[in-house]
Amino acid sequence: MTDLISSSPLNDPLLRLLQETASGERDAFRLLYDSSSAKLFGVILRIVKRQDLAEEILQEVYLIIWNKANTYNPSLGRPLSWMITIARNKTFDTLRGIEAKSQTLEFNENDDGYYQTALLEISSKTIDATDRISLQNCLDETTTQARESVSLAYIHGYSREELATHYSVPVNTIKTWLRRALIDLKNCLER
Amino acid sequence: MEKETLDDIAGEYVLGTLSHEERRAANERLKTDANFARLVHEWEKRLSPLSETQEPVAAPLGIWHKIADRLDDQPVNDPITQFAETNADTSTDAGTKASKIPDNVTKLVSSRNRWRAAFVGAMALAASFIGLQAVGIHLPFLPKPAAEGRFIAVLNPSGSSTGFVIRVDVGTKKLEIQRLASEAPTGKDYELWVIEPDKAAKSLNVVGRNAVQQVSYSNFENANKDNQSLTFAITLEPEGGSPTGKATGPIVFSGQLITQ
Repeated sequence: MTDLISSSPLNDPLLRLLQETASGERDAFRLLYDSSSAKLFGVILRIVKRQDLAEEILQEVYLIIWNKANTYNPSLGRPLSWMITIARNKTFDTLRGIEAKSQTLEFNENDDGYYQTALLEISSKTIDATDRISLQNCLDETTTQARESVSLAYIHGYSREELATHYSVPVNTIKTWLRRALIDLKNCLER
Repeated sequence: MEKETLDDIAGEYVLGTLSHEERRAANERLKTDANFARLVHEWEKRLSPLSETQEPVAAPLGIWHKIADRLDDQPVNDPITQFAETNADTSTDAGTKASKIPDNVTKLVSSRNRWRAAFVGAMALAASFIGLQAVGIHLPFLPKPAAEGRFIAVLNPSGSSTGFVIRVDVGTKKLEIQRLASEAPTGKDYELWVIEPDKAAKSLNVVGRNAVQQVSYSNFENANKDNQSLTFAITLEPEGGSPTGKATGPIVFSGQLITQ
């Protein structure tokens, strides 16, 4: 899969597949799916933690990609980033919509280690190395709590309530932590 | 806690921690607030390495077949093409019209694609508005009936108020567009498209900031040929117009010519 991904949107083979998909070419769409579905499924599954729900969301995500392929332009980022954003938005729309019905998600004690592992496994072909190193450096500068809570929210879909339960603090404290962490990250990345 | 800023909301939107109600409000805001959309995009860019570096997980083999099976129910990709096709559907005889429209709406809504849903709304409004004209109700902004050979198109938004009025004078070969809607959001431009019967959509260029504008277009023969009408649509494009020559943004206004 990584062979299909390069660092510049204009040189990215996924760009051609996306453009052909926009023209209604199903063979190209199939190749696009084959080249990216494992990445998107991994993102979705980590957030929802339910195989059946992740499969449903993945279907919806690719139908959105099929319908919106003609709206992509490289200024929106690399094709894979664009598709991941669609997947994340659909996933969080679904998750937050159903959250009232199923509040509890089991916390995995290993979760807070994922982001480190993931960052260490970055392929230089996958994303711009500067972005990766910058984000990693800035995460390293934040407090452990900030780093963990951002990772648990972004990668593992934790809501403020779930984070509050995990850290045994009030929800408003979580809100403050998250916003502080985001401000610190932004300031650090803009330096 | 310090006062919440739009950037805070954008950051938490991308992080995924907004509550159900907050997220729903943010989704609504994204449709209309270009500044908020920019802030969200900046956060997506900042945090995207966290997603892109995650390990892939193979999806079950059957998923692709489920997606492929559902592609037949999906509308055509190009919004303008789809617009023309949907228009053609509604111009069939009255007996089939009533049963066709609900089918269309159901399919479009099930695609969960916002602009398409908005587009259906625009179509419905356009249809009802033309209906009003047919029974002789004149709204105050419309010009008085004029000489034979002049036509007018009223392009309605997906909301409630009128967006643009287009006047076509076959005799003098003039097309004039009058903007009644707000200006396009910062960083965006309205682009006007014409769809001649059985032809692909053609750009008539970006609609400028002026409230009234003359547009260069000379192929008026199709305006009243065999009862077929020209259709106009306006999409929201990047500043300067569509970079591809085809519509890339959502249809925000649409309508057909009617005899004035």
